[in-house]
Amino acid sequence: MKRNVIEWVVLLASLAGIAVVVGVLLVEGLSESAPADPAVQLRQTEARSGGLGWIVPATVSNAGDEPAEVVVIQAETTVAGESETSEVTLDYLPAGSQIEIAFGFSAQPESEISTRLVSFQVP
Amino acid sequence: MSKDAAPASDSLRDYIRAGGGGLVIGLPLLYTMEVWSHAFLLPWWTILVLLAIAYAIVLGYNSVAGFRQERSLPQLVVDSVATIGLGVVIAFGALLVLGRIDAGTSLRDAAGKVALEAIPIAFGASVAATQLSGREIQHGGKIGPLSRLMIGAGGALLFALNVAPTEEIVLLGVQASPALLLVVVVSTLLLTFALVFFADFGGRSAERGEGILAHPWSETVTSYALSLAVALLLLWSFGRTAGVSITGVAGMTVMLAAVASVGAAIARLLVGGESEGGEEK
Repeated sequence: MKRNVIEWVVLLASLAGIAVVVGVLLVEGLSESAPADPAVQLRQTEARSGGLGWIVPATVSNAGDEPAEVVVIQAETTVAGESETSEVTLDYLPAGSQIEIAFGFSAQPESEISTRLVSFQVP
Repeated sequence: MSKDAAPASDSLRDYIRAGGGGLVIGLPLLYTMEVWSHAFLLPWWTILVLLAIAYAIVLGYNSVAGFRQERSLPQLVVDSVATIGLGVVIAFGALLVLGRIDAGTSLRDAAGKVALEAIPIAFGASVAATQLSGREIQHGGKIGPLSRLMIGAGGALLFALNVAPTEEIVLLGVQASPALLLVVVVSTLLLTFALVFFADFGGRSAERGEGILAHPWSETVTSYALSLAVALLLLWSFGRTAGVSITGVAGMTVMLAAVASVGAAIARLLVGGESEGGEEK
């Protein structure tokens, strides 16, 4: 049975789609795999005052090749002479992906904000 | 190879029909959070195994029914690739529109999501082209018991896929007592037997062909066994069996197989059971 133009277009698009999906899974799967490695990048220049205090946007990324679940991240700083911590929990952190979060403090911090990883679950 | 190509408008209509059917079956899973997260939680090879199994089932289904009849084996193989491919393209488009794939999504995550979501869409596309078009299945009215069982397995996978990734199936399976599970097994067998051989949906005849597998009870039991296998395969694929006790796995399998069996029963009903020289639908 001969194929008309539309059938050719659909067939070629199908083959291309499958090739990309299978190719990515194979290449990513067969390359060396590093465990999950969550990291936080604070975006201080975008920090602003909000109705409930000081908001510091940040980006969480995972430099590893494995995903992480229930990722808990803390930020600590000094506000009005007192130490204050802010905590964010991410349900999932896929490998190689970036997730936008924001830390909250009662007022603009007086010292550097330090961040740390508290815990995560290995799927 | 001597036949002329079909008119382009016919092909377009066939693909729109296939795409529509794909979405009917695929939409519930496109809107299921567990599927999105399994895209990056599952190992890469599990996703490829699932895709390969899906291809085998689409191939099996297209050989019995499927869109574009009267094909040779190479055409069948190529058409089944096109069915999976259609699923991949539609899944990618839908995931983009739903905001599940964006600039922050890693390639691996995106590929996993597209692959998993393409499976139900491809099943739907394969089924839709025949069942929704009202076309006769062109087989000279000949669907053997083995083909029926295979189509049943496809239906089982299609139905069970909707609940397999969810947390509910774990709760149902782990919390059920052995006595309750037995009740579920017996109810499932009775229900599917009644659905296929007494409910007479679509005016399907209960007349059977020859052979052991063509007997109503043996078909019901074999189909149930296949549904159990499909259920176990899905549970394993979605990482539900890892570290779980044998009783827990048995419970989840029985609970999921109940859903799978109904899918298998409906699928067997849809293709009918005309034996050699049997009556027309």
